[in-house]
Amino acid sequence: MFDYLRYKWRLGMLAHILHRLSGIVLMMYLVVHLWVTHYLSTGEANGETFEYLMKFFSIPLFRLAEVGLLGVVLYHALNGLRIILIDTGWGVKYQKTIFWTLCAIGGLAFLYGAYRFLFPLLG
Amino acid sequence: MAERTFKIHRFNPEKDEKPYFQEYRFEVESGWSILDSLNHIKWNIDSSLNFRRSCRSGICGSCAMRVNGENALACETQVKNVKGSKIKIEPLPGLAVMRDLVVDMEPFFEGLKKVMPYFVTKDSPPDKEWLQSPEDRKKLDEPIKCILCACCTASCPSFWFDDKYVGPAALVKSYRFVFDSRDQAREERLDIVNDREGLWRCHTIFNCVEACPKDINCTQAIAELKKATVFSTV
Repeated sequence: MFDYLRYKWRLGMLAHILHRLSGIVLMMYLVVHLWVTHYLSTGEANGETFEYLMKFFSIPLFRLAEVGLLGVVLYHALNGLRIILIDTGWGVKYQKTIFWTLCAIGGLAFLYGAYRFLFPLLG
Repeated sequence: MAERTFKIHRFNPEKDEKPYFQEYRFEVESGWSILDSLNHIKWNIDSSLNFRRSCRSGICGSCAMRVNGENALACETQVKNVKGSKIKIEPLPGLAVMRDLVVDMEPFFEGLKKVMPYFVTKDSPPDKEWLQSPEDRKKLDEPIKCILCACCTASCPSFWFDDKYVGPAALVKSYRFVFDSRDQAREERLDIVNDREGLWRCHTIFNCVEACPKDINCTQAIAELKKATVFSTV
């Protein structure tokens, strides 16, 4: 673990670490997501629990968290594409260009998504 | 001539409980490499400093070490190209330190031995040499530049966590024989690297590519092996 901090971080290392971290965040989100959605299938009586949870999650704090989640999903998905490309031998020499191109695409998607998520709060 | 400070990793297992850094400040002559500076320290300032070196011209691969956080050959690194007020010199990471800048290279060579780093031919030898077309020879241009200095393998986080992983240098060596038209053990070789301690430990972090003093694209070689493995087993 210590070696990570003492070795010089280049782009490949940064992309790798962020990929791992975003993976952990997505794993945690998935657990919460499954926990919430399981109330959907537990019958009439518990349908109310689901409604209650949905209301609970619609407060601004969770809206903001959703924007964060969007960022994490975008990073993990797009860098995942980069890794697939590299693993199949495509564009290995251009891994940095690919990274920054995907960052630009992801950035635009993030801004649009954030606008859509947060717009209802402003109005 | 410019005065530079070298911050060097010191450790003598017979005397020291744990490693420490020692600083040396002196005039560096123009054109000096890191290795020249280490030699200057050893010959004129502190003879107790230990490091490996031999050819001083980027061929033997003995003087691989970590210069300002990144693996490099001391003999190929010019002092004037190293930025920062202090030049920090440490042993290769991921390998046990034996003394000062000297590491135990055994796990590195164990990985290399696993991939059969030698020619295998099954047919009886031809009258003269084994022939190869210039096009086939060209495929080997990159991997045969490897001098086994371990800059790549010791820069790989996968190797830091698991020294049973054969590492990028061994995989480049495997590539060198798998894609050699004269070699006749392709299947065996792919079988060896098709392992969790082989190809699939590579997480395309690119530290090896950045560190290689011979500009070998290890990740490209590993990707080609991954493809060859998948298509030979499907």
